[in-house]
Amino acid sequence: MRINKARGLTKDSNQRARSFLYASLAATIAAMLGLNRIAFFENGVTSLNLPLSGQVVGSRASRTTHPRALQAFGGLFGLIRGKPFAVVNPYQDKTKADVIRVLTGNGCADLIGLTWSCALPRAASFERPHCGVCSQCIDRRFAVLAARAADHDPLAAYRVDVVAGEVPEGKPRTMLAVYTETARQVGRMTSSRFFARFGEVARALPFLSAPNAVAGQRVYDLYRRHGQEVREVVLQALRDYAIGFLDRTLPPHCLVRMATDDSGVGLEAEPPARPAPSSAASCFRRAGAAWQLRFDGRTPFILLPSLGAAYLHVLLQRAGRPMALAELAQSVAKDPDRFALAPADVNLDRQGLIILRARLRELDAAIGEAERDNDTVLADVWRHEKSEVLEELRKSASFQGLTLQQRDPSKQLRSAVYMAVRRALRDIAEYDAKLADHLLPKSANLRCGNNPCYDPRPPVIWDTDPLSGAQL
Amino acid sequence: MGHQRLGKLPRTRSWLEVVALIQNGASADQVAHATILAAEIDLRKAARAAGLVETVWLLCQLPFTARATDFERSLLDCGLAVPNEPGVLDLTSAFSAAVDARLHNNRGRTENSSTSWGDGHRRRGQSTSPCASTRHAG
Repeated sequence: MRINKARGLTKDSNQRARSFLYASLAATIAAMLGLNRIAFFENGVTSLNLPLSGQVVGSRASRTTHPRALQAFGGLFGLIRGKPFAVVNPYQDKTKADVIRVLTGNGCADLIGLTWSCALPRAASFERPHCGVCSQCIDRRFAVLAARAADHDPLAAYRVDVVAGEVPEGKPRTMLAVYTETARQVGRMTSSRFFARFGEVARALPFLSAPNAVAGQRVYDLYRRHGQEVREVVLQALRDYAIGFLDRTLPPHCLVRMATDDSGVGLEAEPPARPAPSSAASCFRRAGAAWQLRFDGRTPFILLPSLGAAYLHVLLQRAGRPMALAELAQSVAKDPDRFALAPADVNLDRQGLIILRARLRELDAAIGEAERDNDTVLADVWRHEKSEVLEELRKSASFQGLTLQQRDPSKQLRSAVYMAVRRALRDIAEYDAKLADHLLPKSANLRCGNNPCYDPRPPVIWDTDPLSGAQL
Repeated sequence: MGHQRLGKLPRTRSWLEVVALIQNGASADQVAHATILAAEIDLRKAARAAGLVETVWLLCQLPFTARATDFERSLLDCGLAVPNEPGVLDLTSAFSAAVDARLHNNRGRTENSSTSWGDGHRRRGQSTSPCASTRHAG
């Protein structure tokens, strides 16, 4: 029997329905043979498929052979046949490495090379069926290495070497990191921490044919053993690739290097240190890339970088001294030359625009006439000229049809600075409404216009010096 | 058979702000405030997530059941089907079953309810394990 999912059926390449397909086929054959039980031989870790990361919510971890799913299959087949039917998993307490040991122990190691684990089958080729970066490929490779059966699982079948290959950035790298890190953490967890971290175990316990306490202990032991196996594989890899590690010939983002330095992944990275608070009652100072703010002795907070915050900082630094608007803009601009005066003939004046628009109308008429005459050559010439005129108009006129020269640059700048400050104050108001009120533009404290100035009465002493490296 | 997929982290302006605040050493209060703002829409939806509502309701009931003279009876009254002298794992299983029963055929199961369900297990494990073990010892 040949069963294929049509390529156009779904955009998703997952095959989470295949266990139901396999079970249905097996149940049909069992019924033909008069049997009332079928078995899956799935390792317990994949069967339970506890989430490796907090991102793996709900169905992002498939449960195709979960004990609950298997019991539901059995229930359905029983209803169809009209008598009890069981779907069981005798390998529920085995890790994948255990399963491979069963194969090798029974002289069937050659079968390993014929099996397919990758969760991304559509990207697979016959020569390289395993991507090496999905959860299934990672689990397979670790299991093979843990069971010392690598000879039967050729590395050439993997598009990325799980242990020593450069793992692409993004999800593949995160997946490998969370797989190894979760196994490492589980290996050190007490049972209570394990059950607290993996509440999903509770869903499986009633279907494991044992009292909950006993079944729970079995799951905990299984995962601890799996964690130990992963740890052993990593340790062995570190031994195998020690020279490559020292000689720096290993790719920068391979398992061996990630296992010894998680800076590129940051799974358990220390949270960034909080900037030291200022001794002054009020501060507005650089703290790394952001700003640290505090007003009148209240709780300090972080303001993310913005143009408005930079303007406010300059104004506070020069409290009581008005400054030219252009100077303010120039002092925080990445490209101060932007604020130099432009030559007067850069853009068209109003008369020039009128002429161009008139020419545009003439060209439209000429194109229409050439098309009516079937003169394609002339029509192309007019079209080309029209595109040039349109481009010139686009460069020289704003959306409303005003020439750029007609706009008042100082008015534009005033408006831009004002709006930037307002935006920054909106962010400040989220954390300190009083400070936002205090810095409100066009108020008694902060004058705007062409010569903005911060000049509160009574004066407020601000610490505006940036934090030193030691204070960060 | 069984694979895992990592989720796609939101890249909206408000979530990027949360990340930037953490990177720049903002206080927990400030990060929490920014997170609430970023998650405002989802939090509004969460109030209608049957799984989350059931989880919160059960978590609220657990302290009362722990104080009741007949612990098992009290749990049963809340819809937590536990055996006699329940242990922590009996309680977690009953908790899962009760929440799942509210989401018949997975209808209404959302990421909010899944997350809250997992979090509910952690909270329940922390809050009731001393209680359950004491009762066992008794």
